Amino acid sequence: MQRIALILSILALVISVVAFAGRGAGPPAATPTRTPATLQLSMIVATFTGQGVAAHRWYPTMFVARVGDTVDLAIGNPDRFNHGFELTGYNLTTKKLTPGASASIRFTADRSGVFAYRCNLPHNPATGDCTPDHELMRGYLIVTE
Amino acid sequence: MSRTYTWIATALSAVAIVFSLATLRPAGPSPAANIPIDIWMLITGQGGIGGPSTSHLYDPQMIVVRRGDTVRMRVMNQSLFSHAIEIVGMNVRTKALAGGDSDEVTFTADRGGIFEYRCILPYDPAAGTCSPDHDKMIGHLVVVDTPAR
Repeated sequence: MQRIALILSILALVISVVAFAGRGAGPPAATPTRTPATLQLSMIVATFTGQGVAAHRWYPTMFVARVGDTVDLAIGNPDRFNHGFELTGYNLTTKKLTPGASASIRFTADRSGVFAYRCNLPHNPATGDCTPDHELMRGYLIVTE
Repeated sequence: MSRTYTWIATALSAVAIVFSLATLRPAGPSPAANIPIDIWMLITGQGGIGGPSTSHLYDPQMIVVRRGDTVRMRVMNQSLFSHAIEIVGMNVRTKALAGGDSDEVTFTADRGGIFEYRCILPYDPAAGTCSPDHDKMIGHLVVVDTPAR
């Protein structure tokens, strides 16, 4: 009886070791094979006015990439105030963008998920940095599998 | 002798269990980042330079999320007339918003698909609700059904 138990446990061990060693080998069944794309986008500070309120935002406010795609952003600031672009989660930032200035960011979207982009210059009227709606200057990059 | 076999069998089984449990953990390349999506939705107008707004729109005109993502949407009406927003099929709607008013809704995109968002206040010049281009005030919420979620 004990001999059978021993044989069975050795068998179980061999099977689990093989399964463990083999995990992650080969692509997951659900991932289709495809060629990565390059997304070239213009990302600007847009101003919407009405009802006495000037709303600033990164434009486009939302864009989508798939894992493996390359994103090439041309970031521009046509506003009268300074702004800065930050893509949180990917740790990408531009220099301070003075009125009329531009910068570019190029990266590979290698992680899936929701990533916020925002202005990284706090509102400071004395230095001309950003605007009162600083916290709402936010957009999202969605990276799908 | 049989005692020795039992101990060896027990020890080997324990090791086998550890390996089996390790196999259960996904070996994907990297975990997905899940942060709440906080959208500032504007009801705004566009027209010729210096002229009045001739077309009214929601900005952003398209929201893309993954199924399961939570969206907080702050809606502000910058136009002269009253508007509101409803995401058809998502059971999401704001109150009627006079010019300058705001409202906030939070929802979880629990179903995949494409959902239209539109103004629910019919055009009525006497009441100052919506504008002649009421039927064109349309945007889309795209809920991506990712296999991993």
